[in-house]
Amino acid sequence: MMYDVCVIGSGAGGAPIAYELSNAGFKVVVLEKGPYYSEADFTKDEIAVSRRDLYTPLLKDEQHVINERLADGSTKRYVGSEYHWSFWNGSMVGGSSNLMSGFFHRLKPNDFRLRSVFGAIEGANVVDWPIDYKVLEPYYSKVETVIGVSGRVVKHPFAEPRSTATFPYKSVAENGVTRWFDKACKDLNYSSIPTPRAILPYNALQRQGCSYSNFCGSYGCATGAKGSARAALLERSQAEIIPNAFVFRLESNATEVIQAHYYDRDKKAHTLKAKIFVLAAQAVESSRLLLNSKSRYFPKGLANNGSQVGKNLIFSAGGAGKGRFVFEKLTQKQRQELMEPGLFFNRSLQDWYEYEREGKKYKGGTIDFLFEHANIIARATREFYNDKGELLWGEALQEKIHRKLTTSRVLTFEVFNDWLPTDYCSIGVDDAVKDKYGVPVGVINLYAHPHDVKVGEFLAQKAVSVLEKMGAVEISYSISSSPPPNLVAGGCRFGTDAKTSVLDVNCKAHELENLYVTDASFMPTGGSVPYTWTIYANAFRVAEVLLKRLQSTKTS
Amino acid sequence: MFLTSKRLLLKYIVWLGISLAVSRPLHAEGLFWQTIALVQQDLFPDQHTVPTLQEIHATTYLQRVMHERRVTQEQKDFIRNGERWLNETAKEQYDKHYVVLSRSQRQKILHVISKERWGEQWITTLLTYIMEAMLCDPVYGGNSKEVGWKWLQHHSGLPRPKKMLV
Ligand SMILES: Cc1cc2nc3c(=O)[nH]c(=O)nc-3n(C[C@H](O)[C@H](O)[C@H](O)COP(=O)(O)OP(=O)(O)OC[C@H]3O[C@@H](n4cnc5c(N)ncnc54)[C@H](O)[C@@H]3O)c2cc1C
Ligand code: SF4
Repeated sequence: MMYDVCVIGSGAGGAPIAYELSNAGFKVVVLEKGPYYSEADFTKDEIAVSRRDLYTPLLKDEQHVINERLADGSTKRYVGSEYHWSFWNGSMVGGSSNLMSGFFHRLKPNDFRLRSVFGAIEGANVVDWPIDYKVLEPYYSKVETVIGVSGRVVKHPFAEPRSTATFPYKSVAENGVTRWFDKACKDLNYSSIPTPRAILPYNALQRQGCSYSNFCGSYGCATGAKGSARAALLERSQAEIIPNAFVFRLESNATEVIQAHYYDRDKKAHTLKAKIFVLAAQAVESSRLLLNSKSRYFPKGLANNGSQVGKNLIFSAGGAGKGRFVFEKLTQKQRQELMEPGLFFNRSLQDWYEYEREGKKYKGGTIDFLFEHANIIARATREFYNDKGELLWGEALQEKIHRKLTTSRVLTFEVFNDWLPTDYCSIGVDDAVKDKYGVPVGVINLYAHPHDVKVGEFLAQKAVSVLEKMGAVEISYSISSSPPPNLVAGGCRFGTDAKTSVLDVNCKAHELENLYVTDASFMPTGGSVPYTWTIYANAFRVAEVLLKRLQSTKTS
Repeated sequence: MFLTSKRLLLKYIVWLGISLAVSRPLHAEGLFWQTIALVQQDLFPDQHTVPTLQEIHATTYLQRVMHERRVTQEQKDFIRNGERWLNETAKEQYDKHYVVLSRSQRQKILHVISKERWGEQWITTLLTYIMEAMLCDPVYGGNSKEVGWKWLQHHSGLPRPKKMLV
């Protein structure tokens, strides 16, 4: 059987392609290495989901090798399974979008021209994008209606231009503590932004509205309110989905991919032919698959004759912090408000998306505020040590756990700023370590530019000023160069020059006629926000290109 | 001196992820779980207002964890080896097995091992599984009658699991 399109990876990057093209009548197949969970399978099971990482592979079966570049220029090698260092996110139909919290931000116009606006930074490979914000705007807008983004448009210094006046869905219900936040921001002259969420506040799009389950991030959504690639797109598409299908090689001739080779759950090998192949296995795995698909036409890996595949891997830089609100300082009414479960704390700050210091222009970022995750086991284990760093047990521990968890609540913040692309941060494949299928595992060469931490620190201090103003205690934060495995991009940059990019402007590989990459691999820089809205938007843009291509071939 | 260096060697091997667990004779197995149950008691004592280890089935919960596929062999070995090192410390200090020591002697041993890296890690590991037993969904065999959730006024997320997924 010859398919029109074969999509590899069913997450935010792959699903828009499957949705648009299959619903337009083309024969689309999706190969997904993970299982197919339906809404009925999703429960708030902290043991399985959070403590045993049910949705990601066991590291002894599938892992990564991490080569961390240290300050002195040397490299430290970590084999993932030995160090319990996992770069997996969500292996299942719909990918990690099933598990996201759905904090949605668009990039800003200047994110598309970082090099032109902010100039070069030594040691970083910053480039402008080959498209500008105007090109992507209609697709950001499309995501709002098709995936379902709820929010409230407010004026603020870095509000991005919109083609529509309002969000199609009103904001999800918010915890009363957001009012304390808004007041603190007003006093500080900051612009409090209600964070847009990829969550339906009520039944719409043939999906149920949010039930305020209190366990959103890291958990699958049992109502379908969360705009996962599965709930919003795949379940509303005509595409054929093959779960438990791990693609290990793409076979090509000199100009075209011919077939995908994949293993099923029983490690039995299969092949599948299509006219067009769209790769969206999340940044690391997409580059890994290309690098593992060597042939006489592409001895260094598919689409890699120009030696660009895997380069300029980026993450979201920044870090996280927190402050605690304690009953002693609150009225009875405030206590009740604070402890109200389920309702969201949707607030962010972008006042310093760009800022100046000592006459120098900096690209800053976003700060999202949210309540500490409701996972009760995790919260209890965080109380094992006292203020002096001594391990507690017995009555002292029991008293501390009870006091902290019943008479206070933690508000956290997350800082997102650009992880500068460099020569030292990239994806490769390992010569020695193989996965359970016998395929070389992906290598993550890790390096964070010192500039990233500097910007993160600046933003974290702004977040701290809000928590202080709100009356929080035990305020702390950590900005570091550790990469968040769930916010990963780059490896197959798009661009106009085949010497410095893997993909063209439409995310088609320069070196092949029928290979596209539509996860976050295409991003030359990441913007200072989580990526998913941009991944969705860009995949819808590419879907339109593919639709025209398929329609014109059909006519001719 | 010999014991200490032997212990260091054992710890080193375990941290390299090499499995040392050997199948034990039954009476040793019984003693192992008796020690673990007592350590759990010493770490999380019965108190009027707090869920008891009996209510949360802390020991049987840990017994089940030792068979879970998603808990690494390295972690299981560490729990077993930790019990052995605990008893070596008890022997060094009092020339007795942990289970026959008095309450204050056992606390002293826990303080001694908590100053060593392996010991601190072993205690936090056991405490973590006590927290799991106390705060898991009851389908996992702990937290009977939601006693842990009630203690901490926790509202579970919905829907709740109908069966164990691990
Ligand atoms: C807990 C959590 C919270 C998050 N919160 C947010 C948030 O608030 N806001 C936000 O913007 N983003 C958030 N994210 C990130 C977001 O989920 C990702 O940016 C997005 O889902 C990435 O889409 P993707 O298509 O690149 O990858 P994925 O969604 O991960 O999809 C890739 C798919 O490819 C499959 N695959 C991999 N290799 C192969 C292969 N060889 N063969 C076949 N299939 C393969 C994988 O199993 C996976 O299903 C969060 C992520 C997590 C895990
Ligand atoms: S119901 Fe609402 S809170 Fe629960 S997972 Fe779905 S979107 Fe998140």
